[in-house]
Amino acid sequence: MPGTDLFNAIGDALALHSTAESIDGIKTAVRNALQQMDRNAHIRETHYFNHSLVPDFILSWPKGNKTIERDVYLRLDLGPDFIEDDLSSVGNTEPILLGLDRVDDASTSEVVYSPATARTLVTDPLAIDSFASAPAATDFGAVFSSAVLKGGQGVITGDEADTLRSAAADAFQAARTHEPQPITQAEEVMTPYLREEQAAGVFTFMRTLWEATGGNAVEFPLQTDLGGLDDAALRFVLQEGPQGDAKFWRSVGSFVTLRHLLDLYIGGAPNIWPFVTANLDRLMARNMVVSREDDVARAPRSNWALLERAIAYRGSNFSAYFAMRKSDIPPIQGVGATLSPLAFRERLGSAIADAIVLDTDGDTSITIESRSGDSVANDESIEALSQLSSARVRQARVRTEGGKHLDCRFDELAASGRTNAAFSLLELIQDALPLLWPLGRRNRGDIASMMTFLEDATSVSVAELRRTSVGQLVAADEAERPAPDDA
Amino acid sequence: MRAEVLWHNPDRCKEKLQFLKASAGEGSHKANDWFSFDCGGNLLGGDTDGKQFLAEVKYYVEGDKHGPQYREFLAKCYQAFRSVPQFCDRFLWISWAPFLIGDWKDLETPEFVGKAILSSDKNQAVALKDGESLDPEVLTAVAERVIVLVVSDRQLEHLTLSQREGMKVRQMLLELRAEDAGD
Repeated sequence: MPGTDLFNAIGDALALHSTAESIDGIKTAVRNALQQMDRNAHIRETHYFNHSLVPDFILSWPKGNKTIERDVYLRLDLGPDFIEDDLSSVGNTEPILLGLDRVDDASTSEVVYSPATARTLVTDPLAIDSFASAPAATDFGAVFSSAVLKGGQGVITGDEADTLRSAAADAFQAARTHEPQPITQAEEVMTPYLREEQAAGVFTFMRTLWEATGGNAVEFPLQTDLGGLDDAALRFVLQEGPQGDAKFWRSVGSFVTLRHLLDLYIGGAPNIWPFVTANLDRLMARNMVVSREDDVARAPRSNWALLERAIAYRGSNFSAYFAMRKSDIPPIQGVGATLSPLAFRERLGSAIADAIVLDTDGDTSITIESRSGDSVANDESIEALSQLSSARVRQARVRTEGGKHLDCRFDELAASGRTNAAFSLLELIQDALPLLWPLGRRNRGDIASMMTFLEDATSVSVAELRRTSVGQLVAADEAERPAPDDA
Repeated sequence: MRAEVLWHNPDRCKEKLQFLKASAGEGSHKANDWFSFDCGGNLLGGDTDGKQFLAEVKYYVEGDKHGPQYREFLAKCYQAFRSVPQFCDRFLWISWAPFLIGDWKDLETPEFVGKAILSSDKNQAVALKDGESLDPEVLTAVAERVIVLVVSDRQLEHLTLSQREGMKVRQMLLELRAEDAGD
């Protein structure tokens, strides 16, 4: 398996006769192992090998609007003399020096722990093997190994890596079961090997786990500078958290509004899908607009995208944009079209529309409103009007399972509340989207898998969630601010 | 001329720098039947770009030992070239002391290479099988490929790039090779 036995893979590559093949084999093995340590790291191969000044790899990660980078130098020998040479030439960049052989901890620690060099990481294939083999989803090992790549320091050989990985796993587990001791022990073990920023990130993540699983925030054993589930913690979990753990994402989303999420500016974070999907009934928007897109196959669980002031759901041939204000939604290519009464009734299915607006010819329109509360789609007048070739449904007022009213405009492919009402993304996807856009098998399948994830996250059926969905609190400023564009 | 040292010895990849002596039996595993160079790699830039080199590094200033060691180095070059000529575009002798001053102008000639090999039983065992005579073409090839470099610590301390300059060069080298690779 790639990366799980880096030391042997390097040995096999070195045994190859051709220099070029040896280098290629080594670089492939190292790259795979580094990627296994952090699947979110972008790894650039520089086409240099064991060069004094130029790294073999440049790792990078998005951070807000910027990118952070760390150089990785592969080294044939990491004895003290070689380390000193490297530190004098490239130590100012605080890189990772990765030996291709075992690093002798005892002989290197003195030189590496000097104050000037403490932020460089000296490590070897045994340590990388240890970090790369951490099962990411269950013990959150990937959170720690990612932190090591970004801000590991000092000498970490195989033994240290095993100790660190074990301490981190125990602490992450303790954070979920609210036991303080393994967390304080982990701090002692881990702090010397991580830069302050990365250590703070790891312990903030532990506190996030602690609180998200019902632990009392006051009882968390370490002081952190960051309060509650703040932006730093959220960014961290959205970048590094366990993708498949639906309940975790439900817990993390307890107090997060759509505005809060958008303000993080982390559009490329890998965990947007599980976070949004596990909180579909909580994240609120007032407007939805659907846009036609070219037919493309999307990677599984890649549908959600965070824009500057809106969130988009990308289907195979459409995008649905959700935002508080219509003006927050980017300009849409193309518009929709009115529907024939029969096509409307077919799209509506078993949902309830208690009013529709029909265009009958160029200048006139008819509004049909139910006084009984029954769906007007069953009204005999629809049947009669459907005989008119010019009659087209332009607008429908749909009653959600939760009893709210949602105006859907087919000519604009848009849905919004009649008043200042906000709707959960779940309501908009379930009640408005199928009405505005004909969902094919692939899109229905994608939405069904989201609903399964949501049910796993909440342990409640989607039907029940739709009936009881009250959503998250809308951010205070959003709630009070009028929505002029929606008038 | 610039060089990138890809391999050095001793370490995990020393096999890349090891060769069987001419006098040893085929496939021998005896340590005494093998010899090695200190490091190897690629030359960079100009006509020599991508050419491979093998090098011996003598990091001490006592020049009196260098004469015999240089002759042994030439015997190693002769045998290495016969074994894998494709890896032997250049042979670098890097020394911290001048040596063999009386022969200085001849150190990179085929005649000196031949005399060096025949100068001792040890060197002959490296380069020649029992009863084998020298091959003039190989002598010429080795002589053309040998480069003698004499350096000093002060040169390394004072005439090398500062860390800041090094970072600029690093950036330029990154861009150059990315360009070559079509990245």
